[in-house]
Amino acid sequence: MNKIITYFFDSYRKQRNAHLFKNLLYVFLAVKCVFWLLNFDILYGEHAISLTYNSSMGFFKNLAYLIYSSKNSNLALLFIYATLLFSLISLFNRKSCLALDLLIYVLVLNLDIRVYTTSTAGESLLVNLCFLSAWLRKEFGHGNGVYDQLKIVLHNVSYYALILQVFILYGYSALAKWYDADWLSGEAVYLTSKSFHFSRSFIVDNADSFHFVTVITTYILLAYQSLFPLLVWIKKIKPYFLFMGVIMHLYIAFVMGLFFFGLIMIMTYVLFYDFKKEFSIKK
Amino acid sequence: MDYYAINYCHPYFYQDWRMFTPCSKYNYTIYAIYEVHHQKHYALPIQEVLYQHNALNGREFLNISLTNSSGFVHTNAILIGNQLYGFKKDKYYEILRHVAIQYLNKKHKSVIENLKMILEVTDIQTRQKSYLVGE
Repeated sequence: MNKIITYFFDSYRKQRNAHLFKNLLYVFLAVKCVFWLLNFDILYGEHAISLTYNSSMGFFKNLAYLIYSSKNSNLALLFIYATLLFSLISLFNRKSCLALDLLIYVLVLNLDIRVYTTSTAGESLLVNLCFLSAWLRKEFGHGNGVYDQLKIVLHNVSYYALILQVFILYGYSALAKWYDADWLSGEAVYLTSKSFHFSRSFIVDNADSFHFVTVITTYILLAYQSLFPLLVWIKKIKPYFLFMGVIMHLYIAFVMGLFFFGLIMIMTYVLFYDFKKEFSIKK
Repeated sequence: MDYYAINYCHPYFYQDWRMFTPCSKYNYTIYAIYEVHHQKHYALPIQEVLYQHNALNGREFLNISLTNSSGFVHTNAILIGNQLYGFKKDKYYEILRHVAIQYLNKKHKSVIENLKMILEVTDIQTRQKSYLVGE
């Protein structure tokens, strides 16, 4: 027990991973803001495709529904520009600012809720990552005060909370697949390859001729998601295992068309990578 | 507490990640018939999105909006006759119709009128087609 407590209080863990992950998240948010601005009219403006209902959310819930409840689309524009500005400030700032990170989280949450019919798993994950990563630090200074200790423990807990989030995502997804007849019979990837919504025309046309490959891929994906929480800790196979995941998510991004979901999943792999050198600032 | 928290984050044990479970079993095509300035128009919104849009101008979110709502509408459809179904006028139908209207409004940069939709559902394995009509 003492060892666990010491592990969380002793020093900032996984500094390089945390630093890189935070910066990648800010870059991702900046790209997402540009994307929101490019498609503003159909997401938040006059031609917004997500239907809204006029119902009172109550004071506490309203903070998450500010754009959803607002009749003025300029509020969404303000939120997007604020997210872009704060993300860029945080990206170039050497220190992390908890208040600014939590503000980014609230802004992203509001922007995400307004476009609920357009959301993939990536958007839900992004909101959670924004919240959990807000407690991570980018600077790893010394100090023995209570506030310094609190920063260290919040950083470490937050880091492992992010890892747990990825495990839960893969774990729940794998569990659902183990109960699904198409995944167990090996037909899931074939069916998805034949769906023109989540495939490309040359794959739709030729999926029959590589049916055997789709069956093997289905079982590999099932094994990958089921074993992720275990195999990702084995150092010898970790780089290959993560590389396989990157390929899978690139396929999801560029072939299946779920671009932002694919990218955000690849980004979470930074949390698992073992860097050869740590920043090595220990108390 | 959960009632409030769920609006702000997705607590671990309330999450429900499925990621293509169940996987797509149907291909959807929406036939839209409508008028712009009293002139009749026809469109296939899903196909237009898939073949004329890219990652930066909304292929992903328009595709998700149209196919997700088509899926829900299809699941709730009411059997009228052999392979012919009627739209159940519920919130999913309302969402699908809203997405289609807004997409077409944007496409024509003008208000569209008298929209009629037919949803063609093709079973990927059997290639059997069924149709959902309403108006």
